[in-house]
Amino acid sequence: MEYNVAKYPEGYEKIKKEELPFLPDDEDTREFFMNDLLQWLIQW
Amino acid sequence: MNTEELRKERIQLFKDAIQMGKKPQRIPYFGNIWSWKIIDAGYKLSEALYDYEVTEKVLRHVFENYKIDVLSETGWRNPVQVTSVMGNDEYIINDTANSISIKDQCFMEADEYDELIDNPKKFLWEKVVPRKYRLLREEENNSGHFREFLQKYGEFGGFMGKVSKVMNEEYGIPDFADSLAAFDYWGNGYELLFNILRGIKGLSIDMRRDPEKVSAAIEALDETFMAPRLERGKKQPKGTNMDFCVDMNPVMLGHTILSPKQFERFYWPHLKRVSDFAESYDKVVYIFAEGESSRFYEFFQEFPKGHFAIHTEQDDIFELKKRVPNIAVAGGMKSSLLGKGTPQECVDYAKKLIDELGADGGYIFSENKMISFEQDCKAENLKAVSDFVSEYNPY
Repeated sequence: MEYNVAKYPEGYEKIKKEELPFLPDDEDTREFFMNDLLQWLIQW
Repeated sequence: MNTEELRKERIQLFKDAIQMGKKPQRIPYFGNIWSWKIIDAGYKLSEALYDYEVTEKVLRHVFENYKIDVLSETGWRNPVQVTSVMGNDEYIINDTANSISIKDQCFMEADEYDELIDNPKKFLWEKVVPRKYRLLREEENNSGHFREFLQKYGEFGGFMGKVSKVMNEEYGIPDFADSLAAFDYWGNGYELLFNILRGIKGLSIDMRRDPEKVSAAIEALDETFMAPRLERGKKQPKGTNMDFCVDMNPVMLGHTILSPKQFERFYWPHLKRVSDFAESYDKVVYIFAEGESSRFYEFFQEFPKGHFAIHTEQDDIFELKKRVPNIAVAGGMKSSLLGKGTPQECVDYAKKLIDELGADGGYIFSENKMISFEQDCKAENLKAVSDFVSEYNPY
């Protein structure tokens, strides 16, 4: 099912919870990854 | 000496130079070599930037031809294979001129400060990210594009891991900075406003018209990106991480438009947090200061001794050493000389730098500017200089 990623918090949370299978199922780790990813996206 | 022993020795050189407790065995060489290496290895920029195998060949070319101790850019800059997937067309690669540039960026309007301050993540995720990435902006159901981006982002991370392994295990070249510690590369609120969100012109006007909001925005961005990294850094063992040359590697660019008074208000609070953290947790910081910084030396004098190196791009490095004795200095090897001089002239100047700046050990040899364009350096000059620095012992 396609959805709009660029919505906060809906799209952000869906990415964090459903699109990162390579990360452990741990809220802190996933939130840290998303924070880094957000910075990377605006930086580069 | 095997490559692991060489890697550890090189890390120790940087620690000794910055901590200034004992003199290093010799002066370490920070290879400030950027896109020039692609041309030197015989490739066009577009060939390397869109092909990780070519990038790896370029890196191997550097390690096999020049005796540097670390390399500043190892393939992470200009990640066009990742950003282009979602329609970011900001990078302009010119293979004829051997140049890559980025269009002026200003992804936030002057009247959006309140939105940024109120909820930085919401504002950046909903407004700024789609403004940068066309396919997120133009298409309502865009998760497929984001999945493709995550795939490319993962490939990029995998390549960077491979580069690290090749450097460490085959050449004894260490990774420079610890990416897991409080690594505030661009995670500096002021720099984000300057480089990405408001641009030079917009931010210059904002600082005069509404300094309170600019300060609040910097604080909000620092809390979003810097604070979590500092917290993570605090959970690591106290003391510098011996797997890396330095613990943090901030880059300063936006300070170039500030007066000392503005610096004190908009920039220094961020650096003070870095400084306090470095002192309390015994970390080692290498600041790359682009442009000129001499009007801020009074602030740099407050850095605790034995924790900071400053790589100056355009300042008189001899004056920096004299006026800010509490830090190690880095840089000094003029790209103008590397590009136009003879090997002997370059070696003579390298010796002068090491003899005068390295007398107390607090010096890291490097090119002053990022070696990017063909005319920035001749291969025979870099070879002569790196041979000399790797063998010369000033003590």
